[in-house]
Amino acid sequence: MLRLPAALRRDLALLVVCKLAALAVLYALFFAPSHRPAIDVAARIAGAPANP
Amino acid sequence: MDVVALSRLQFGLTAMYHFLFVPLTLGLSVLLAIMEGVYVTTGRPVWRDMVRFWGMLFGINFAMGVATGITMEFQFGTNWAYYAHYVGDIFGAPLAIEGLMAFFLEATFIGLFFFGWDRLSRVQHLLVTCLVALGTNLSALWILIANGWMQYPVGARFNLATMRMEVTDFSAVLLNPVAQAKFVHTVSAGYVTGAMFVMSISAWYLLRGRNRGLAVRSITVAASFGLAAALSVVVLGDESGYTVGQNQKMKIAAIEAMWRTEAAPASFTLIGLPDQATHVTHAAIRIPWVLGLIATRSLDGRVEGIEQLVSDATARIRSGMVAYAALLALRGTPHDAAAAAVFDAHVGDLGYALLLRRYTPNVTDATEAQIQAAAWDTVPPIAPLFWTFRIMVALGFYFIALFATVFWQASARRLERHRRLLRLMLWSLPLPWIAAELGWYVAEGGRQPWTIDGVLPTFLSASSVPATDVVLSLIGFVVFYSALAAVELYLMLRTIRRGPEGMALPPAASPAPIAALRPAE
Repeated sequence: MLRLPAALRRDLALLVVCKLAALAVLYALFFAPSHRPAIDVAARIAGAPANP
Repeated sequence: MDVVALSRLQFGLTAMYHFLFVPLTLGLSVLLAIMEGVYVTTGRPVWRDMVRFWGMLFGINFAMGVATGITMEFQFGTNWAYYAHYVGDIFGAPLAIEGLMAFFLEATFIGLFFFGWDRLSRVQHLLVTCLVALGTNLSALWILIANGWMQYPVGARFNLATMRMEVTDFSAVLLNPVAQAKFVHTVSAGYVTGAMFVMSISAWYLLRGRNRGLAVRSITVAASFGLAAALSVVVLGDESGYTVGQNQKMKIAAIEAMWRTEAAPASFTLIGLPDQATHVTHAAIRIPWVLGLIATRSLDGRVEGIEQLVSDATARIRSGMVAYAALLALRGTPHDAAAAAVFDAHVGDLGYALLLRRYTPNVTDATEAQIQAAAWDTVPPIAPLFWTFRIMVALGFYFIALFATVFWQASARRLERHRRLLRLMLWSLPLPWIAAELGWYVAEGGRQPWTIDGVLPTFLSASSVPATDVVLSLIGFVVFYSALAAVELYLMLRTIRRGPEGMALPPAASPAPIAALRPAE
């Protein structure tokens, strides 16, 4: 009764793969370590440069 | 306005705007599951039409909720970079889980909900609808775990090497009592919103003499569900108040404008005019014992007043200054065992010392006046908290009365005779949103001056960006969100005006058997 039709299962699998691919592209374009700004928390918290 | 104030304004506006959509999504998703459950059980097509009609409104609202929610998550990086870095290891985890669950679970099943009517059996579609409801509620759970940690930071410690907070016990973060109390209170408020929405729109149909079958059934479901939800909101709100009383003493004292500690059990100020300058609540009407019972659930538990809590904060600032001095020593000589021992003994108060950064760059040399000023900074604005909380609570009791009355009249099949009641139902439509927004103001305004209670002050959390950048993005948000609001209102009103007959549904008098709804493979 709860078994999904084969065509729907195929569509859902394709959808999940596409979503994973979209996440990977987003990560590579915007969130990879090279895109992260340098944040000097030590300077904010301790009032001194992080690497004096 | 400086960058911090502008960033707070931007986040506050976008969060409050986002929360126009969230409670309706939470409430409607469960109502859809209930209605579809009745459809699958009875096979009566009017219930399927109800699910598809309210489902269409749910879809419009859900899309807006997603669009407005994503921007908030980005603001942690753009406007609150120091906050994100300092506590991102803890705060980021539930946010990431929420995002992934919404992306993979919620969005997928919402697609199946809308496009699966002809591809799934009735039971399969009901299961999908239940999973949509589960997904939306789970999303709320993860967000409130993140928010609960900001209110009551457990399961984490400051790492001297990385100069940031890191998780030590993720189960403590997940099972945070403040987060759990906030979650059940918030989703119940969402259920009230969904119920009021269905009830108000249905009342409008009855007032116009159209779609009677759908409207009467919808009101009956919404009133019963709304009554249960409204009762839950009040009971769970009491639980939330208790956890606040245990863990955020300044917030409860501020909400109650309780300037000085009273003998237990403390009285509850029903109404009054708090004056933050003189520490007096003018024209106060007090109910003996009630606050003590709510906040401590005992007759001898003490609820500390603001002046006492400021005195406690002064002591914690001094302790934090010791931790701060040890921190500076350890940054110079990382293997100084004596400094490490001092730091470990006082690290719990480090956040209080950071309050002094508003007044001096040399925290360890702060003057007595600066320490006192920082201690008084721990008091949030009293009058707005006092009044928003009372209006929210009054609305909660109003919802119970309204849902109970409507449920009684609907059960007696007398609903259509009472046009005044129908009009009251229609006019009550905005009230759950007002109550929810006021509730968030109480939760977040009462947390000030902290982003992470007792750990990180708000003024240290913002990004080092030019104020003009924040102003420009704020203007962009206002313009873009106003356009979105216009689109949302247009789509909602058009769908409501057209009603279920405007949705080109299959003929209502042809209930197909379950087997016939299953597509051929």
